[in-house]
Formats: sequence, structure tokens, C-alpha cells
Amino acid sequence: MIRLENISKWYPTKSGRHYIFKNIDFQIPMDKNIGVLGRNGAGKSTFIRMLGGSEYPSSGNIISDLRISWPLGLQGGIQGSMTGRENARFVARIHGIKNTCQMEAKVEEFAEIGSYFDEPMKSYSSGMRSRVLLGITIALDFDFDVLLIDEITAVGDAKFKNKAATLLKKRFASTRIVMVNHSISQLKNFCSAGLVIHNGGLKYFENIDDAISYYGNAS
Amino acid sequence: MIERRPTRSSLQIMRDTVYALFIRELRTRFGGSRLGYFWAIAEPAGQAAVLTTIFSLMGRTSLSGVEIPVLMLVGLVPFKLFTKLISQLSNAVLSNKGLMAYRQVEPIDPIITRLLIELATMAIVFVTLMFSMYWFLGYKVTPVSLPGVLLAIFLLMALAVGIALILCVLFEYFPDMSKVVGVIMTPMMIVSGVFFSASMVPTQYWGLLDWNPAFHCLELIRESYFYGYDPGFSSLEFVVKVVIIADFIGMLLFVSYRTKLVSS
Repeated sequence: MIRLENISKWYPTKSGRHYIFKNIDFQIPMDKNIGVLGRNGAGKSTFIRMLGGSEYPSSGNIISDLRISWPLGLQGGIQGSMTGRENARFVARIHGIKNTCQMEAKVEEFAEIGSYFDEPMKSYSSGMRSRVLLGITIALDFDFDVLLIDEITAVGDAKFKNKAATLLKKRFASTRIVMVNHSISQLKNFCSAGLVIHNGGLKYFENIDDAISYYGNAS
Repeated sequence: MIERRPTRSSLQIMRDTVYALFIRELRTRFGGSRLGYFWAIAEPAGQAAVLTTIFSLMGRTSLSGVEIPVLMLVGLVPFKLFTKLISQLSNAVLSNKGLMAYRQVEPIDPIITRLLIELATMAIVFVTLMFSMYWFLGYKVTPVSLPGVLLAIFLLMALAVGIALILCVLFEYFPDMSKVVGVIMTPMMIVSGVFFSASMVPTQYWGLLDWNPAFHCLELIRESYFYGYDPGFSSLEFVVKVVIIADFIGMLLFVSYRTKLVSS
């Protein structure tokens, strides 16, 4: 379970504070995979970044004793000037892994991007980036209770998507995911519960179909 | 069943993160070629050697028994550390912003990393240059009081850290500030007494220089380094006070704005 205690999140704009969330108390049960729905700009990515500790709420606390991954997305967490291998090593080291060779090999094997693995990541296509990023989490052996996924499975070719889906599903027994994705079919494929972000509020649905129809009516 | 890694304390996480950043920083800074590590030392050493030669040629060859090149280096290398720390540390958070996406990486980590790198570089450069002056030119290069020298260098470093922490927060809100700082730092080499000491300046002009804690620090370093060196107006008490104020404001700002430094 992840508890949001009276959190607010705002960004400064020219016309004053723009609130994404205001004084929200909420409990997210983490017994199911959750698909996050919301319009563009509703705060889906902000929400997932706050869960992942990449960003702090403006006030309030997020409390959980689960191991939550960083948000696997197309932005952030990657240093473009470093190669895929160096990024993999970096992530291994901050997670306390001393011997990084094994980890590098696993990422290389999963990513299947050949010699590009030793090129700076700024030269990668978005598909290649997501291959490496997903490879890194898989190489960490899914040492997380909760995996945060921000659109990462939305890019890449069909073969990669299949591979990612198979792997993610295989791990469902021990790992829950929270996923942002604009493709409803992708969400339905991975998630059984839904969370709708609408007008600065959160609404949780046990069934993803209810969330989808609520979201359809609300927007 | 997945085997879990053991839980780490926040200190262990910090240590692991600083280690990861350290390697990363070394790679991006010097890693382009094998010569990179050589240049890391050779570049500042070369700069110091050139400046020392020029200023030595302009003046006398010795001052109350101290060889001029030694005198110059003892001022120049710590001063380079001072300016390098300010520029490197004040940009540390901004240039590592992408990595803050990982919860393990806190804004203070890149600061610690760069502090370690600059200190290590300075120490190697200093010892290398001093040793070569002793070996090839036969100069006397050992300090009178090593603890005194280290204390003064520590104060200079603490001053730079305090200033850099303040700048970190300022840069976040006013990115143009970095240009202002560049303009201010340019004449610092002259007004910090890298190539002259306060005792060479007529006392009626001391008021133009004695506000500068960096000048005080350099004089304190030389006072501990050379026998019978006249430290002019330098005052340990003044330096300690400025350092405490700068570090206090720096840490206060940095801690209060910590969460804002994380988000991009």
C-alpha cells in the first residue's frame, strides 16, 4: 500500500500557482496492477514521478514500505553523454551492486541493439532507449515491489513490445506495476485496476473497465 | 523466488551513489582518451608553471630566503582550487539533474563527488609540482607548519563550498547569474594576492584588499609555509567568521530548497 498524506503539488506559472493536486489524502492498494488514466496535463507523469521519488510533492508526504522503482520513462534517468553500458553500470552502482559485469551482460542481451550499446545514449532512437531502460530494470532482477512505467512500452517495434509484455507478465506474481499509457488496449493488457486523475482528484477503481468508462464520461 | 538485496542505510546509499557519480564524472571529464587522466593533472600543472615563470621573471628570484617560484605556487594552486570549486560545485546540481530521477541520487551527492575530485586533483598537482621543483631545481619546498597550511587550505575550501551552495540555489532560479559570477571571478586572481603579499602593499591601501577572505586565506597559507613570512593584515578570526556565515547560509538555503533542486 502507498499512502498519500495530504499532498499538494503545484508548479509556478505566470498567473500564480498552478495546482496539479490539492490536499489529497489517498491510499493506493497495491494488490493489483494499476493503469493511470487522465487527460494530457492532468498530472499522470507528475503523479508517477512523485511515487518514484523523482520529484517531491510541494507539501505532504508519500509513505510506503514497498520497494518502488524509479519511473521508467523516456525522459530522465539517462545521461545522454554516457553509453548504454555506462548508464547500466551507473544504475547498478546506485543500487549497491559492486560487481557490474553480470548486470551489463544481461542488459546487453535484453536490449539487442548490438554495438550501439557502447555508443552515447543521445544517439539512440526512442525505441533503443526504452530497450536499454527496460533491460536495466530486468537486470536488477525486478528487485522492486512496484514498477512504475511511464509510456515506456508504448515505443518500439512489435517484437520488442511482445518481449517486454511477456517478461512483465512473468513477473506479475511478485511485482505490481503502475502504468501510464495512452493506449487503452495496452492498459487493459497489463492492468486490472485503474486510477483516474481528473480535476486534481484521484479515483481508484477495482476494475480497469470501470475506470475507462468513468474516464470516458468525465473528459 | 527472487533473492533480494539487503536493505541499505541512508549513509550506505549515499556512499554507493557518490561512488557511482565519481566514476561517471571521471569518465565524462577525462574518459575521452587514455591521455585524459594525464591532462587532468598536466593542464592545471602547466597553467601554474607558466604563470609562475612569468611572475618570477618579472620580479626578484628570492624573497627573504624563499625561492619565488615556490612562493608563487603556494599561492596559486590553492587559489585555483578555490575558483575551481566555486565553478564546479555551483553547477553540480544543474548538470546532474537527469540523474535525480533516481531516488537514490540527492542534490548533495554530486556536490560531494565534485568536491572529492577537485581536492584529489589539487593535492596531486601540488605534490607533483613541489616534488619536481625539489628534484630538478633543488628548491626547498617543505612547509614550516604542515597543520597550519592544511588548516588554511581547509578554510579556503569551506569558504568555496559555502559560496557554491548559495550559488546552486541562485542558479536554479536565476540561470543568468552564472554570467555575473564569471565577471566577478575574473579579477579575483588579482585582488586575492596570488602574486603579491599584503606586506608589499602600502598600508593606506590595505582597505581595498582586506575585505577579501580569500586573500586572508592565501596569506595564512604562506605564513604557515614559510619561515618569517609577514602575514600583513591577515586574520584567522576574520576568515573563520566569514566561513561560518557563508557555510551557514549555504547549507540553510540548500536544505530548504532541496526538494526544488530535484525536479527538472
